[in-house]
Amino acid sequence: MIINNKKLFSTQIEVTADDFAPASNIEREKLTSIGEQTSYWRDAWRRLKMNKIAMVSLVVIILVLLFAIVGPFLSPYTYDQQIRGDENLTPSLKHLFGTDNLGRDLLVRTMIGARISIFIGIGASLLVLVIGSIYGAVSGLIGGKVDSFMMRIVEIIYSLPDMLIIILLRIVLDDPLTKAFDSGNMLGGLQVLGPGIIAMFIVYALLYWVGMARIVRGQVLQLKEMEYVNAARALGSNNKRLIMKHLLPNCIGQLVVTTMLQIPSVIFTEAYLSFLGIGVSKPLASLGSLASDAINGISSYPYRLVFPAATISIIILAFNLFGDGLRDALDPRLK
Amino acid sequence: MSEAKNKTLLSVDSLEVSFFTYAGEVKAVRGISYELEEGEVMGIVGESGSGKSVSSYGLMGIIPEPGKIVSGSIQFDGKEITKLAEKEMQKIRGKDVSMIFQDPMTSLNPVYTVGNQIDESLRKHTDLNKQQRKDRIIELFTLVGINQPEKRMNQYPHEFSGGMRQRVMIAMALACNPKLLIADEPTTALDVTIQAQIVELMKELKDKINMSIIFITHDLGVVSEICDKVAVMYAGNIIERGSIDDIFYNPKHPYTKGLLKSVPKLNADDHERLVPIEGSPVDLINPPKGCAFAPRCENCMKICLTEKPPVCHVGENHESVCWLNVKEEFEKESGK
Amino acid sequence: MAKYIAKRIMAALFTIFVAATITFFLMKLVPGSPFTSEKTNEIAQAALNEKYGLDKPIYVQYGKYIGQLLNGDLGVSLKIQKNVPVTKIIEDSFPISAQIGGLSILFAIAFGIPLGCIAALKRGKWQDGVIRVFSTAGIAIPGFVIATTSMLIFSINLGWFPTYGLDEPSSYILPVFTLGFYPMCYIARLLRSSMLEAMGQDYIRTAKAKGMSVFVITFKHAMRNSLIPVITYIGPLVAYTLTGAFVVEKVFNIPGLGRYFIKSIENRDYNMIMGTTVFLATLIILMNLLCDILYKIVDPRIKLTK
Repeated sequence: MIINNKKLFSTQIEVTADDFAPASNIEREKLTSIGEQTSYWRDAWRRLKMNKIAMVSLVVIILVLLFAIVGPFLSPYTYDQQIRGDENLTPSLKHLFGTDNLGRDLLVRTMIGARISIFIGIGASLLVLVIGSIYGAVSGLIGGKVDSFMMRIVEIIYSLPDMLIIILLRIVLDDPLTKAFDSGNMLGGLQVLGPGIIAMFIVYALLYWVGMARIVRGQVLQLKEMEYVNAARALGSNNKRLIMKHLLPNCIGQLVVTTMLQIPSVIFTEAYLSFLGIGVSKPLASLGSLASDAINGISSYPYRLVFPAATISIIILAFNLFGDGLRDALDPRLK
Repeated sequence: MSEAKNKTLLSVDSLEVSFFTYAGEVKAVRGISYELEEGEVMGIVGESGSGKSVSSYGLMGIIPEPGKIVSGSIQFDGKEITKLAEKEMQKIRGKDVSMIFQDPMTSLNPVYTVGNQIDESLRKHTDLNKQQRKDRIIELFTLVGINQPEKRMNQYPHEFSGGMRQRVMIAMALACNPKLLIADEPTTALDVTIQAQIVELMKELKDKINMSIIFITHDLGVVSEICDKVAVMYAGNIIERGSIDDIFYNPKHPYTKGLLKSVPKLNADDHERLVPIEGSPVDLINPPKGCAFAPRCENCMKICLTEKPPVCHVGENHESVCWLNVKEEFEKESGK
Repeated sequence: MAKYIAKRIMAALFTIFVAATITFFLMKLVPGSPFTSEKTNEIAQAALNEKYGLDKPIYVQYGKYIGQLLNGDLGVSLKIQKNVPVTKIIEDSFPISAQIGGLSILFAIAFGIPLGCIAALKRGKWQDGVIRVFSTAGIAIPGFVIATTSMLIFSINLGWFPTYGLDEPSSYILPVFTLGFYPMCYIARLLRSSMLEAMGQDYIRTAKAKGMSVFVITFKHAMRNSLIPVITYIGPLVAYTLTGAFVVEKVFNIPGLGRYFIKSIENRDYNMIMGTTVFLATLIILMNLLCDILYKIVDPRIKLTK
């Protein structure tokens, strides 16, 4: 049937009686295809996967880890092996990155250097995470005067020029640590690391945790607030869900991101200290110390600088970009 | 309504606005048309995401990235706005058309004095000298009810309360005597008592100054107080429009009826219950083929699922976009 | 405001005191006296220790040290310029470092701000892409790598600039570039993100609705708000240039305070290390203070809160 009421409609409309039959609920529901409910983490992972830069960085990080951890086992040389007659070689098939003036293969040295740098980066960042979390949590949980006193300490450490204190600490720690190592008093496992790395860890443990402590304290205070609000509303049953669903992910997300971004900053500082001659102890080599060693022969052997410097830049870049991507993925509000 | 017909100030025809996001094209406004006469006050009502704010940003040419006007035309004061260059648009914005926003707390720049922020508009759009501009600001402040204007104009936004800031925003919008004022939920972010004051102020101003107003809100109560006519928006479409009386006493669209039922009334005779509209708005990336309200509509019919409802002129200047109107006509004709 | 400034000054003075105390006790942790490594006999060592007061109990030494600090006396260098007062060395060498550092800060700001602005204004366009890649890479490359590679390319291979010293005006270019590179990239990134954040604010929409031009919106409304994070970066920026100068002065062999500091680290000249640290720490803390106060002045919102 055609309806043609010019007054009512501007066009002709053709309809049948069946058109006006009520639609069933099933038919209606088909229209609203509600997107599947995703959890916080799955949602974050989905966002992360969509971020091309972050995914490329993740691949680069994995490749660098393989390069640093598996690489040395595949090399026919060891990092401290001096190959007679192979001194000062430019990159070739035999030595892809060339050799140094003692005839050591620079490829395997760069691999070991990357291993040390990443080890320091991750180790120190975890240390910072643990110390900062404990300090922040204790401060936030106790609250009151203890909290404000503990935060005053954080404030003072925060306003100290960190790089200067790091240099100072590093110098001061050198002698006692070396002595302790020489006398063999240290635990067997730590012996391998050498005083340089231990000193570096102590420095980070003493100075870099303050940012983390602030974050954790903030989250703890928020958590306390939430509990209070909930108690007032007498919605006890939902408490656990609320903490699991909102606070924990928020807190963990922030901690993961901060730790992730701490890693490149530690590696950066390590490189800087190595250049000043107060990095890891010889014969170990970090990327920073390799690069700074290379500077003396820069005009004749530029490749010696290029490889470790490029590796270090790639590592820092990849960790930075991945950390940024992670932050965007975990905290959509920041976008 | 029986007065001599006024000149049409604004006419919007089949306006479509989309946001081009990574997830796809979000069709925020899907072809709306309306007209506004000089001195007329129109309310645009709808829930958040219905496209009511975005369509008015279109009038101002300030649709935020990545949004764009896809098609349609906007005739303002005889000019086709959609085709104007940015430079030309800037001359109209703030002068002929101005806007008040939802949140007065964030809508003023925190690092400049309020006087400075009004002055910049006067400097751009008028030839007044420094003293005249200052006098004008004082005059505006007095008009919108800000005491001690000379002192207040040299203060920063954070020194004002929310209601006072909204008054500043209104003064700013009125600075160059605009022909059209768009008020985008001007009371939503305010306390209830302050809301009433601002509505009162807008009513007063409406009578004092002869300008057209588009009042965007989700508060039907406010609409009934100051508007001459109303357009109800749902999922980017105007689904019903008409005079205040049409909409409040003779609503035709199930959504409008639902909206009216969900508003508390003070003068309710019996113990009427508030009825919420079930369900949530549709996905604007893949809008349904038929009527967008179908999934939530209690009168949903088979045709609603597959065919777009036609615009039905259910009364003089009263339109409803719904198959139910067709059904009525169908029953009338077939019953004959 | 005055109360706030007074409070900040007190806090800064206290931090300086803490920094000086930490420096002192850390130095005392070093086993033996500074002279043990020298090939002197015990009697001579004892004499030296007595001469510098190193035989006294630690609290006496600490008291004396703080007293000297208050008089602006940092002791004398023990090794790198034997018996020359540390203050004298700082006086001679710091102006050179300050010159390089100041120029680098100017360089970083002068190039970082426009780069950040362009990237924000051309968001998503190729200009933004280039600047983002460039500045992200810039903050990932260690300073000494930039220093040595730029020296290798521009001084050794191309011969455009001298490799060391500061004898000609052109010899300033590479050190200033190297030292300013990281902060420049950092500022560009910071400004880009804060500018984009500012551009999304409601007051920008208000300005647009008033018919303001893109120029006014960008440089009046968005800029001032987005410069606030950049101002808060000036404190860390000064700290960076002062410590970054160690690297640059070493690579380009510039006779600034940084090079002396490195030398004193290499030679374990504890008095010199201590003096320089206290001097630089004081400077950094004072700059942070200054930048804090500046920040309050730029942002009128904060005046009332506190």
